[in-house]
Amino acid sequence: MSNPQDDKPIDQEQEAHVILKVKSQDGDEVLFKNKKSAPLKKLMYVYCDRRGLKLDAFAFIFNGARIGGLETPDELDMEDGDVIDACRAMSGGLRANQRQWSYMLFDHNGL
Amino acid sequence: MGAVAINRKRSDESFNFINQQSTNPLRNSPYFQASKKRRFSFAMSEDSGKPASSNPTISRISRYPDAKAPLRREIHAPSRGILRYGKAKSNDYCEKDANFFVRKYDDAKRSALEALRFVNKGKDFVDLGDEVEKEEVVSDDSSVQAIEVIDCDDDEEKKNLQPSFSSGVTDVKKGENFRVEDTSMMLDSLSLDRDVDNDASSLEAYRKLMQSAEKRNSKLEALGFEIVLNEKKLSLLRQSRPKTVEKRVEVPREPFIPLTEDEEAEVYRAFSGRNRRKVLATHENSNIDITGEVLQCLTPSAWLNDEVINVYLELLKERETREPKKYLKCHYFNTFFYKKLVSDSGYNFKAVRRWTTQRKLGYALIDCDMIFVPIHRGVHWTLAVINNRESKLLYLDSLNGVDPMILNALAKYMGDEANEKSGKKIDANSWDMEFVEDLPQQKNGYDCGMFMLKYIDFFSRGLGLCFSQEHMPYFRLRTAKEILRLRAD
Repeated sequence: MSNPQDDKPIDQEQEAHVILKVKSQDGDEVLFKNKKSAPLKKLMYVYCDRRGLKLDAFAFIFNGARIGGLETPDELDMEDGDVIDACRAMSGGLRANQRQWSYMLFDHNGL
Repeated sequence: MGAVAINRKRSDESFNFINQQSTNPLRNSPYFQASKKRRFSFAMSEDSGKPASSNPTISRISRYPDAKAPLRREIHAPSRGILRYGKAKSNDYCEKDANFFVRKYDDAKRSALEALRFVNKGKDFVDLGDEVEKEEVVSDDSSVQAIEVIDCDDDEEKKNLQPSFSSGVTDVKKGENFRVEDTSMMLDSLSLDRDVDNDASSLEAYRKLMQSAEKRNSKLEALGFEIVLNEKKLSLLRQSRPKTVEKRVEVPREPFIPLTEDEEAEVYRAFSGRNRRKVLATHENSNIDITGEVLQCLTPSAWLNDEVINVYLELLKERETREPKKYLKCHYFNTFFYKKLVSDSGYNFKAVRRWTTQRKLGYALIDCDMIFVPIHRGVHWTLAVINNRESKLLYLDSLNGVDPMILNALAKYMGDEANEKSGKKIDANSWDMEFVEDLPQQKNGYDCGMFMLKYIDFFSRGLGLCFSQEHMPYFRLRTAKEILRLRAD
């Protein structure tokens, strides 16, 4: 018969951590186990390192808000299985030779 | 009078024929043949030593006497030949004949009418008058391009004559050239018995006009008095009438307030290369650090990046909360919203379900007047607007693009959002979907992001889109200033 005191540290450990999913726009998903009280900066660094990119190459979005890195999962009310979106930086304009209508998509079925 | 036949194709050869040296004994012989190879040109005239006329042809003609034509014949049709000037023979019977002018007028009238007939057929016409015999060199080829009647006075020297190559009919008396097209003018000019107004009669008519004008003076004075009186009455009526508020289409001042010298200097300092790594502004609510490198996208001809756009949208939101009465109640989605809503797998409401909770926003999305959705199309920024007040979906593209898929997805999103958060059922698919065409257009390949931001700015103010491509350099500086100061004006 197991000692209830042995289960207690395990429960506390599970409560202290949260499993988060970082999802990129191309569908690539990486699971992270992060302490609820630990800032998310480490998670962000590790993800960028795995992708071979600098930290400022991605914007990490959770529930529509950008994660700065100093916030903790507790502060952001994160739960197990929550998804953090890793969005690549975007810029927009058309070069002189690109000024055409080829970028447009038409939903012919919708019409 | 002499008839002139000109062949433009072979004019050089014809004139070279004249320019053969006069010493040639066979020159006046009917069997004389000109060598086509021999050509002479004279830069100076012999007698004066001065340069010859600018037209070498004229100078050559004036140099040599006329060659006698070996054959004389009546001209019945256009023929090619050398330029000839014949003197008009003096007609003795002309002076004696009393009906000469009448006949001359009739002849001219008839010739003009015939000319009109020929014009209709697309041919040139020449009136040769009374003269039957003309001096002419016979030519086999009859490809003549222009024929003209030239009137030569007896005392006029041949060297002063210049050949004219225009087709037309010449008045016998005046020597004026008329185009055949205007026959009515020709007939008028040919009429010799025109009425000439008498000076006395014209003076009398003038006096009568003056008298009639003087009679009206008293009436005019009375009318003038009435006009003044009526104008006074009208002004009194206008003053008594309640003032109506006139709608003026005025360009608002606020969106175009020029930057001060200090503000401009601050912006240019931020744009300088020394600040590339330096964090110039940090927007804490959105966790965005604006470095010099990021701000560089607001320099002329640079593409706007998402960080600048998202910070500016946050500043617009703060501006609205600061002065809620001045601006419309709007929600500004960031640049990542649409990418998340419509991913590669298609429409996915669950992915953005938690983006707009009441606790997070402090208001329900359906309570907003307008919802702005920036859309990134690979290399192009466009804007979608959900107008709740007018139940409309707008798509604004500074290059006038059209994409129904975007508005269909947003209509579906609005239905799902209202159902999820408020329990209301909204059929946004039945809303008007407008792809706005009459809007400021970019005229280059890099200002789409700035246009998108200004569409949002002007709509949130409740203004029309009263700006253009010319304002973009100013808007870039202004946006940079507002980001550096973290305050949108």
